[in-house]
Amino acid sequence: MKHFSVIGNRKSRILLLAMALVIFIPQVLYAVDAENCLMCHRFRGLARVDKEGDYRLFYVDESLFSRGPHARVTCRGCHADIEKIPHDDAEPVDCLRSCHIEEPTREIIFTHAKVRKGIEDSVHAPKAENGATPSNPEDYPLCKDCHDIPLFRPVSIFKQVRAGVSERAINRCTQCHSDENFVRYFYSHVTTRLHKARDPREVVTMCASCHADPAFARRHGLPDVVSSYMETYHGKAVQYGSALAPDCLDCHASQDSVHEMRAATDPRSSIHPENRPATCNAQDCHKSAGPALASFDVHANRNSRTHPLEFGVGVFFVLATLGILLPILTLNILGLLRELFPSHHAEKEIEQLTKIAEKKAVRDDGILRFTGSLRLQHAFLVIVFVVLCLTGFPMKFSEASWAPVIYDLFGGIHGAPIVHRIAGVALMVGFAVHIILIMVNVRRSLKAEAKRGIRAWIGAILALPMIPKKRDLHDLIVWAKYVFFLSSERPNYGHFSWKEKLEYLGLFWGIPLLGVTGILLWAESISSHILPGWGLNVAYLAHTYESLLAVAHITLVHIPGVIGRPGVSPLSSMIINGKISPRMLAEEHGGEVQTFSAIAEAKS
Amino acid sequence: MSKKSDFSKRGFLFFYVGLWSVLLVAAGTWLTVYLTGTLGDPLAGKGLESADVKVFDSILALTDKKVVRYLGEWEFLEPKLPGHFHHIGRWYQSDEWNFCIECHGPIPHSRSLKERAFLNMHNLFISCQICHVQESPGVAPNRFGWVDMTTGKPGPNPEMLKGVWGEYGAKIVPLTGPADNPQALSLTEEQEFATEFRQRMNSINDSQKVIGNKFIHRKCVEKPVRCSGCHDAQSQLLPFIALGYSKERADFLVSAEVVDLVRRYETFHMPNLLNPQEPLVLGAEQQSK
Repeated sequence: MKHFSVIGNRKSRILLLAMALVIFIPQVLYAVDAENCLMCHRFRGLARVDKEGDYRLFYVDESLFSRGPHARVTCRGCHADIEKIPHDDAEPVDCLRSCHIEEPTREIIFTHAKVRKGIEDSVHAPKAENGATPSNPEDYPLCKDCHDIPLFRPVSIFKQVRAGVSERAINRCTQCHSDENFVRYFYSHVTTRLHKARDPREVVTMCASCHADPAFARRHGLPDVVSSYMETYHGKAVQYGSALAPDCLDCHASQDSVHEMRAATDPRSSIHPENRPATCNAQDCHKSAGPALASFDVHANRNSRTHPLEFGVGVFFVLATLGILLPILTLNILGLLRELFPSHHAEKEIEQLTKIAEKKAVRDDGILRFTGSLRLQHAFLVIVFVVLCLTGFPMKFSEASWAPVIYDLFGGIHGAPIVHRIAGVALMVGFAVHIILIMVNVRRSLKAEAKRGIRAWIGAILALPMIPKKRDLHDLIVWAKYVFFLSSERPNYGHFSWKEKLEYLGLFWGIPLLGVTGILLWAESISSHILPGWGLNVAYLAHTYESLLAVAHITLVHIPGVIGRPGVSPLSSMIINGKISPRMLAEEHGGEVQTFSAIAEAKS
Repeated sequence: MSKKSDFSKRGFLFFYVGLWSVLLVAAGTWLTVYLTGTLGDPLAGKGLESADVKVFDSILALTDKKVVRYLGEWEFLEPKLPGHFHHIGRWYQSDEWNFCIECHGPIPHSRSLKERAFLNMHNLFISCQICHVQESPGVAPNRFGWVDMTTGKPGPNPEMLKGVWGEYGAKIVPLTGPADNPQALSLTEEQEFATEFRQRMNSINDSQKVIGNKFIHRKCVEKPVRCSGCHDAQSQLLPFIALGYSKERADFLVSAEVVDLVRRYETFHMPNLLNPQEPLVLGAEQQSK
């Protein structure tokens, strides 16, 4: 009421109400329902099960009907056989008939008959070679299999494109054209045609209704096209609501008509090998891409028969992931269980080492394990890694219910990929800085020792504490024996254990691999001038598998192995202040404690 | 005290280690299954369900399909019916109170070929009892009211002008009991029997099934109320005005337009009704007159 009171007096309220009714009530529908069919068909329960057992609903939603181009078509414009009430079962509607609407540019009766030619010359027309009867003719789509009654998707373009009707434009139109309903209809009709008339998600769902059916695909000898498409950036971006990403029609349909969809073997097809580069290079797609991009297999899967390369890459990464993770995971789980039943010998040894470490801690005001620089690098790695996971995994698992929730936090499909790329670049820069710092330290130590030459460099690098040594293999064997209850002796690791070294070296494999493949995929047009199309297929597989390996390692090995240990979780203070407790040092790095002891003895 | 403390510490340690172990085993198993599932032919083994399953799905499960319409400014989810062209927006509100629906479903009418869709449409707002049940043989119900479709409790007349046509969250039912505390016509015994009957369907013999079926329907009349029972200008079973219909709507429901329509459905067709400017071809009955 308050809103009305500030608008004006009673007369103006009535006027406003009348205007609102004009705008919002679907008058177009009432205009075309001269036969008063809605007297019955406006009830949602008007339904029956027919003799074939099919559920038939005769309800027409007035508000939805009025929001599409058919709003001006009378019921009998389509249901022409109904001439009386009560009417018998209506005949199936012939979508290609003339529907009494006048086509305004030529003042002739409108018809969809032109579609017939395109359909008959497309893969969707049931025809077989040499005039033979095609197999499974019932599988070929009729109009209603792909189309339900279209709805307007108007856009407003003043400074930016946005969804909806531009009231500014409507106001201008109505300066001359007095029938606002017609203006709105016309505006919606035209602007719907200025972009995709159907949302890409709806198009993919429509095509998938047949092509995702394995039995259908098998009957027609078709490959898996839907799940393979949904695995590409194209499919995932469409799923996240991007209007820029291509749906099925963008690549498979002719520029002239979506109904002219032809087989890849047809030289006129947009996906014929000869025409693919032009299709990919379309104005709003990969404009600057080289022809090699066209050989990127959008519908690749990991079927050994049809895609041996992708299968090989997949097998490599699956074996690498499981081959590395499962043994370590097994040892970690057994290690956790062994904590419940520690050997007497190991307990005694840890207690002795703890005492030594405690003395060291008292003497040095704590035992520093990680310097400030290392802690800073670790924190940076954690932040970047988490951002990469949060912006990458919703893309990888885009069909999961949690995925869009997380993705939206980073701006959805329009923001999250940018954040992902920025984080990726930051990771690579951080990695490069880390290597530079190592090299500076190596150079400094070589200079102090007055050593020079490539051999000295290699020797110094191999002597770095994070580089695996023979002792690590020995420690691994001792650990395995201990967790399998084959020995009572625990390994006394040095400053870094074999697990830490393995994780550290994993970064030298993962970051470059993810970085390079990420850049190749990001700059796909440039990549297409360097790599063949299949190179991008391999880059995609390497990126997606390696990212899972990295995350699996961190979540299943690193986190449980470091902060999951009893007494440590939920967070080790080591990453805050860099100091390790004497007990933990004795448990985890007994070898290092023994070194303290040896140094102390030597000094005394 | 110290022993007790050690014991609880050890118990917590067992719990902690056990929890981590279970989580890690589960995660490792998932990872293995997921990764191995990414290899091979994605279509292999799919779509090979038994014929029975396919028939069941094709007949019943299809109506569960839903599709989202993305229209830029707004989007909506609607049921996807095979071969259906018009948008339907959503399903109607299901009747959770009336136990007849449990066996007969929300669109039970199928015998009368011409009237069945109309009769099913009336299910939106009229309960089965109105037309099919008499509390005592030969005594037609004469008091009516609205009952909530979820709770079954009588309530005030719905505001029909605000809602969607025919969907008010309530249905018209026959009323019984005192005037100041009317209740919906109750079929408690039949409902309880029907519930047990359905549960024990597989354990009873054919004769018992017939007898049970008769008991459940013992208050059902052989000749239900016809359309003209309400759509008649002279007398109506349902008091439209008292049930909350506007005067205009009540008049319309017994107007010549509706009454004629009902009569033609029950008798014969009136050709060219939709083309009033064309000569009207009378039905056989009128021609003979």
